[in-house]
Amino acid sequence: MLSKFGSKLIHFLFLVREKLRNLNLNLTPSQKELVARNLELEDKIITLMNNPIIDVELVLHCVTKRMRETFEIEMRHLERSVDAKIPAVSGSLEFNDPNDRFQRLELFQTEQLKNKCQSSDNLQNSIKISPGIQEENSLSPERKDSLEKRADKVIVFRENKIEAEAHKQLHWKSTKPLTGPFLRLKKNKNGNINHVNLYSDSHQLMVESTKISHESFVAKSFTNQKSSESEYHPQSHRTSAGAIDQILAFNSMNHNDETLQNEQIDPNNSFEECQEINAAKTKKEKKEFISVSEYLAQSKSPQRTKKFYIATGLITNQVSRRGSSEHLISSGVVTLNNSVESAEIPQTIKGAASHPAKLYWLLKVEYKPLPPANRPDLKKAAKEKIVSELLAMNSDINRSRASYAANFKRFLEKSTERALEYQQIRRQQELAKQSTVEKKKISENTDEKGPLDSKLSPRGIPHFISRSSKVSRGNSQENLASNALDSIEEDSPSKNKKQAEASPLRAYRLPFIYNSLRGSKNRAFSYESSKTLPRNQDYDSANNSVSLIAERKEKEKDRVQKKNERAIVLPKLNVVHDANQELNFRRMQENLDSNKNKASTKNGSLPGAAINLHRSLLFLKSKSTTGKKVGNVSNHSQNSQPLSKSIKNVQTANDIASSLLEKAMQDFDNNKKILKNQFSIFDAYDNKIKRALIGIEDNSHLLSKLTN
Amino acid sequence: MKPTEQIDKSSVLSARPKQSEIKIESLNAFLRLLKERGENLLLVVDKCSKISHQQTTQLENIQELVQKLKEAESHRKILENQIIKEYTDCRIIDDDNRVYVT
Repeated sequence: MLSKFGSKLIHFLFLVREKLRNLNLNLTPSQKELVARNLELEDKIITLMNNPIIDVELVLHCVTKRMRETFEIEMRHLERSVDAKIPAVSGSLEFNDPNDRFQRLELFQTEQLKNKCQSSDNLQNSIKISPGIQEENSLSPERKDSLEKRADKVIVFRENKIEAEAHKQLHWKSTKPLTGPFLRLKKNKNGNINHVNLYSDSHQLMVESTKISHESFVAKSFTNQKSSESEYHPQSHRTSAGAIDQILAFNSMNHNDETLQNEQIDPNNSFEECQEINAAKTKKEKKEFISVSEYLAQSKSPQRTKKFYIATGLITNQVSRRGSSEHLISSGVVTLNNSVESAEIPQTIKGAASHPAKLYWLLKVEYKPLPPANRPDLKKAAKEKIVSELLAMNSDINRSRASYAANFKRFLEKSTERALEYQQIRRQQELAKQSTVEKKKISENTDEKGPLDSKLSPRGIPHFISRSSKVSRGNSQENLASNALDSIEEDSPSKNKKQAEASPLRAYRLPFIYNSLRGSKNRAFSYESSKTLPRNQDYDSANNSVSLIAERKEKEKDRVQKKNERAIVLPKLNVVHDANQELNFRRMQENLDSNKNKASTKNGSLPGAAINLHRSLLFLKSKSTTGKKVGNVSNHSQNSQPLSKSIKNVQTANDIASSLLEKAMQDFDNNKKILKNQFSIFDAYDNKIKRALIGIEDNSHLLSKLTN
Repeated sequence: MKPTEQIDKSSVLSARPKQSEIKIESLNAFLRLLKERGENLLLVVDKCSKISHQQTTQLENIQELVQKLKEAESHRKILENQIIKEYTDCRIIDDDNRVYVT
């Protein structure tokens, strides 16, 4: 809506202007001024309406103000002419040159100021408006001033912006490459550099051709000048409050020099003042720009140089107006012809390479990647990345192993028995290894390719990692365990008994190891922490055996009681009784022998009790055999006392055995729980390591691919 | 002479926008006022150019015309001020089709 309004407004003003022109009248200077004012108003409205934030009040105020003024002027003119019957005096000024309108505007404004009081008096006299309405509707002078200030601000801002955009979109028509940058630094009265200009050698030639006098150099004088001979776009000649602002902004950004930013450019700064450049106080500013120019000279990129000049607004038509290059050089302007060495710039400045970001900011160009020669090798980078990942994985595995070892150590440290067991198991494993090695040797002798190959796998991974090796090792362990079992089975009970007496732990170790190996054959060997205790199945079987023992004991008790009763009631049947007793004793011994191995696993103290029981049984046996040998009924009464004693002994032994069994059962339960926990931990570690192994294999695949 | 249109004051006042709101009525009224002024201006310029050839009777008529024009101008001023007051500190961001070229 507002845009439509703006366009309508502009169109209206245009129409007014065109109508005035088409009147075919001999326009008086004031009438011509009217046209000029209309033109100016159009420009102003366009500027205001193109502003991102439209101040509606400001637009309306500007329009009404200008229109009123023109109308009042024309009305005054008509009034005067009517009064004097004389038309207005025609001036000698012409309206051909549009640039003249500014000068004419000044003239007009002076005239307007003169006639202002008169016109206002006339209007107030002629129009009768009630004072209340007049006060209410008219804008206060303060308000008007503020609006005017705002309008000026907006217009100045817009002009600067437009100029900056024009500099950016500078139409460079010259085909000549920039051979070398020139640098011009300009000081203000305080000695601070507030204007810098860079230009090229091609400009130098152009400057020579234009031959504009040195005196014409005033910063603001170029705004309205036209350059017919210049190779630039006409817009570029309107320098360059925007460019100067940019430079000042740059300086302030780098040095936080607010004073410099706030300083206004003195248009009366002459070239003579520029001669004192080397003695300038603000060396930093100089360094910045010289470093940029140095960088550009080194880069030998005319495009980039040009972009730099355009972006910073340093290329302007000022140079072309300034005079010949010779004059510039002679008047103290620093030159940078192709290289820094030839310039009068101090060599202390060391390149702008240390500020690439600043340079890119200055150049306002996109960052271009490095040439392929300097580009990093992607393959190498990928390899490095994979290697680093692998190393990280390895470190993780090592960490988990270390933690596992620490946990296991703690577990062993809790009880010395466990430690002993562990040591023993290790020894047995070593023995088993030796035996497998021997077996391997034998198999190698028989067959060229043995089941166990200690060399590297086809992928180059050692066997301790590969699964096949684990299986083979598991098999070997199984064989070993089965051998051990066979050897145990082959052993006679007496031999076993002796072994049990000599080393009670060893008596139950081997079948147990067999079970553990069978239960976790893959796991046990690889971690060097084989399970010293059986798994759940083994516990179940052990429990069953314990219950059997308890049943048998009860039966034995019953039998013994029955025997005693018979011995008392039927002494004549002593021989038969003795035979039965002997048989019973044998059975008991066998049972005890068989159970001893099982029961002793429950507790280390159990074998001692079993031995006691066994001794008592042996004692009973010996007594019974002596009675048999005598074969006399009279002797029976003599032997009745030792028998009763022996019965007592047996009972006590049974009691001890039962209590021990109970203890052993309790221990079983506890161990069961502990082991369950341990196995869950082991399984977790198993899974982790399996995953890690799979990852390593995959990564090794990748590595091999990359290396190929 | 084309008589100036009398714009109703109450109609302009009723079209008072709320904050940053713009009323098409007020803008149209404003444009109408400008147009009137422009027409009057052209008339004045035309009269000024022809005044040397005018007779005294015609000059009297011109004087009357000037008076009427002044009255109309004052009326316009009042209305314009009202419209401007409506849009005090009214700033609008309007990026649609706002590229005006001279």
